[in-house]
Amino acid sequence: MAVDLQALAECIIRGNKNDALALAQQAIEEGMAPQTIINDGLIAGMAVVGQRFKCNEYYIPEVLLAARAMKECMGLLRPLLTDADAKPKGTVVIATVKGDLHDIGKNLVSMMLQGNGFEVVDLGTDVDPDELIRAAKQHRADIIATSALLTTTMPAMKEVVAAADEAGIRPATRIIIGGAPVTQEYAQEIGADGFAPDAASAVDLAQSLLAAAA
Amino acid sequence: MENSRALVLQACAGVRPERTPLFDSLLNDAVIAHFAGRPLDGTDDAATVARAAGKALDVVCRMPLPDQAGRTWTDERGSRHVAGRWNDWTVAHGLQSPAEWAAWIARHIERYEAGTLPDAQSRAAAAAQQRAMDRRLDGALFVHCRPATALNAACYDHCGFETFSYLWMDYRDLVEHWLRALQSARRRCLALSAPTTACPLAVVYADIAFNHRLIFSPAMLAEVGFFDDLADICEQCHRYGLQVIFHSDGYLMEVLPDLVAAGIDGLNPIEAAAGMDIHAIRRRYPELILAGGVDAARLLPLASPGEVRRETRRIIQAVGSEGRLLIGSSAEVDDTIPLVNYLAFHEEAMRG
Repeated sequence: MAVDLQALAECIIRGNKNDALALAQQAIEEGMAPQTIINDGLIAGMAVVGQRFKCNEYYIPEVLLAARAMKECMGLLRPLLTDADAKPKGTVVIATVKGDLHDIGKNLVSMMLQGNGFEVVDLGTDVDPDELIRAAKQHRADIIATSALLTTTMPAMKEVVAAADEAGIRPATRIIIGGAPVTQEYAQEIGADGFAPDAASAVDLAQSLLAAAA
Repeated sequence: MENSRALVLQACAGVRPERTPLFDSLLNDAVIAHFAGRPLDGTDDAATVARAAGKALDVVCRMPLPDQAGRTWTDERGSRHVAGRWNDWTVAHGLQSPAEWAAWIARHIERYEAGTLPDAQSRAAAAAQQRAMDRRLDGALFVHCRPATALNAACYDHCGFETFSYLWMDYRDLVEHWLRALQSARRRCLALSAPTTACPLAVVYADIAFNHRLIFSPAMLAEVGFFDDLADICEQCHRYGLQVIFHSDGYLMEVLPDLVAAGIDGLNPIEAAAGMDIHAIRRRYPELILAGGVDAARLLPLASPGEVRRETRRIIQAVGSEGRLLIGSSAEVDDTIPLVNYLAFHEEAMRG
């Protein structure tokens, strides 16, 4: 019997990596196209996780477990993708800004983006604007995503916007920002392309920015 | 400060004191230099910090010392840490996979479970240490008793909540055993520090939330025994005559009824920027001691001194009119807060 990809999606939603792996393996053995398994099983599951997180039905552990299950399955599927299949929805370079060592929010955004088919280059925390711009150029990033938890490190986001302008990588590369003290007004004030209040919204924002650019 | 104990006892008993007591931790060079009358220069910084805290505050939650920013070290588990001036960070865990952590936990459970209740000698030593610290503070009260829930000890002292989430899924029985062992170790520590402390408060540091939401679902908190564990801490503290202030950053409203039911007497730091409304909490829980409340995310770092004074006055009048308010920052007094704003806050609070 053919693998039910809805069952695979359910395993992702429940964060059950062992069952997810078994179903993904079975689907591969049955000759299902890897991209179909990813889209209709893994990404479909992560989309539900994102929605549940957004409306407070899911909390951080549930997101972490779902992302782990997805990552493990991707480990099986990635080597089977053709070059055409392997094309991500977009490439995002992500970091917590200079002077700020907080990484929970940034990690969640990173996981949710990966879970929704983006390639993510995570530069970590306390990252200099020049390093972000270098990485964005090197990976031909569609989006630079920066996070700040401290009021005092928010101005570093403005430096990232200025550095991107100076490097001439905009508007091809969009800049999105987030973090506890960050607001939509602040994004407008510094000239960023968007603000997301949480990880699931960051995925929606990234998708809408890419759709608008297409 | 003079008379801190009497003020704090009055405030906590629901009597409006002569002035609202100040409750905080100082991690700000300029503020410390101002109150200590000397800068932190590496020569007896402990005395400088204590002198400043003793002059500025009635209740001193924590008293960290400045470090050499950028200093790094590796601990016995192979985790790498880096020091900031006032805080340190784990930048890489030595143990990577849940399986490695599970093996480490299995080896260490015995260590946490071992031992007996503190004997008279160790209690006397703890009391002497507390008295020495209290003397340096010149009347201000230091919170010697800071018990952690087993969940928070597991997450923040050991594996981090990401790894904890994986362990909870993959090694449930082991983790339950570990939490019981951590709880038993905590009970012994509490029995050592609580009976002799001059400060009538215990502060439970238990970060379970962040901006506008909880980290763990209420269901998971119940499942890992968090509320039962908190009730155990409250019961033990109450037996020693201590009132329990529960500390968590972030937005707690979803579980505030559970925290109150567990027996907490107060809440700290009440982060407005994370969505906590101190006025709404006061209306809903008139008996709760509220500690903190003055926004340290935007107001104290960025507003004008006049705005800081007005907000401080507004909170004192609206929330502390019948006591049960220990006013302070909604985090800690760190270097993001300009001296002029802290002084505006402090002067306003000292006006009574």
